[in-house]
Amino acid sequence: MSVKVQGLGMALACSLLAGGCSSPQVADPDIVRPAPGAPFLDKLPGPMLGPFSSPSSALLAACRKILTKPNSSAGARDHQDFDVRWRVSSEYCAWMYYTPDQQYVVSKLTDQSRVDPLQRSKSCLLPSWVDDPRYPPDAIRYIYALHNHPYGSSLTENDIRFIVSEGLAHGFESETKDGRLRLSVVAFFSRNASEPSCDGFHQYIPLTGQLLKWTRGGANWQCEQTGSVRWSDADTRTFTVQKKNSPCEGSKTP
Amino acid sequence: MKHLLLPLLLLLVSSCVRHAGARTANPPGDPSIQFPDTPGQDAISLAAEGQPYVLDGAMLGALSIAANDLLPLESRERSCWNRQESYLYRVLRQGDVFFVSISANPTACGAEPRMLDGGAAYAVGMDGRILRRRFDGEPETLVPGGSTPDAGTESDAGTSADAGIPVGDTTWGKPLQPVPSWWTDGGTDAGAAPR
Repeated sequence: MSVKVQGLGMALACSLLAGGCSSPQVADPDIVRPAPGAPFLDKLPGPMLGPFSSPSSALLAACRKILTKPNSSAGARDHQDFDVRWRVSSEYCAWMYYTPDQQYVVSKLTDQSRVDPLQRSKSCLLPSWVDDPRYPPDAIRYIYALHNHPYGSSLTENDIRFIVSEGLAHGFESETKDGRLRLSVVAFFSRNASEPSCDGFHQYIPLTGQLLKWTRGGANWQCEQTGSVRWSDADTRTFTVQKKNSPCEGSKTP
Repeated sequence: MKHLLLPLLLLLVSSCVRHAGARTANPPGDPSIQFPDTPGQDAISLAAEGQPYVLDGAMLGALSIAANDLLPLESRERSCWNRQESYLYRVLRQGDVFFVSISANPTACGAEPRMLDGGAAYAVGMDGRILRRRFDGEPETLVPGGSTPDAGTESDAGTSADAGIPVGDTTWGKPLQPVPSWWTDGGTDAGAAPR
């Protein structure tokens, strides 16, 4: 254990000395970043994963992929290394999108973030657009805005405002072979920092106002509605969250 | 008014109020302070043109201290998201504590990519000290083991699947009626794909 603690300490020291704003700059073909000193990426290349025939399979593949990336999970609060794990943790973000040939695809990841010299704050700047050279830009339909929460915390105000802004840019729902899919934002989490796995995610769907929490136990998934979001009708970007816990109902609306 | 709750779009000029002093990497933590359940209640926006507002110095100081802690001088100007004017500031006074929450204004940075997470909540005393700080995504409580993380644990994850709902499916919920009018008016968020 002491070796592990020392290793984490070294990682923290190195990252602080480097003064960077994201995880160590390793060459990972799944992750794209702006060049040093360059502006943030304004589009993400695709694909990284896919094609998939269903949105669920694409979503779960993305979850497993993101949570294997370095420092994507800080683990449990009561772990002795939590503070260090939190400090070095990173958020990664990507899009899952629907293509003109009726497939679901996951874009590459980025971990570009707002600069915080002390790396206290975690964020991910997700470009609005995916650049998949196989398709015209306007033919891509945006389904899930994906990222991870290293501690598994609930969606934040920024997450909620983010996806509504993306809905204004791309539309809040898309016609697919599986029906009209609503745009949503998703934050994956793992319960275990040392051996991360896709253990669940938080989700917000603007068109229904639902805040959902999906958790995995073994091979089974459970869905719980944790609240609902109500926006003011004036364009002041203000909203309230009504917290309520209830099981997800399985009946579809017509 | 029972609560004074104001979301602010402010350009906080650091020179006009006292500076909070050096930032720390370690979170100031008074475990007795619990953040209010925001955004659980409506807020009053101070964005109306032509309407004067009065803000007392203590509140301005609390806002400035929180804003300068999240975005200190040395980190500004690197990008639009490192500018204080790119954020929304919500403040609630309860007794001798100002609770300030800071979140990105999604319309502030034009074509730059928008931000997932990256906000923070502060509890600031009347004397200008930061009593508690929590960045987006951090645990709610300060005491290790003092709470169940939002991620849950294996034992409470449940063993039964929700039959009929594919994982992550978005089609089954009842739609909002009506949707906010500004969602359908065509906002400033839309734009052409970059070439």
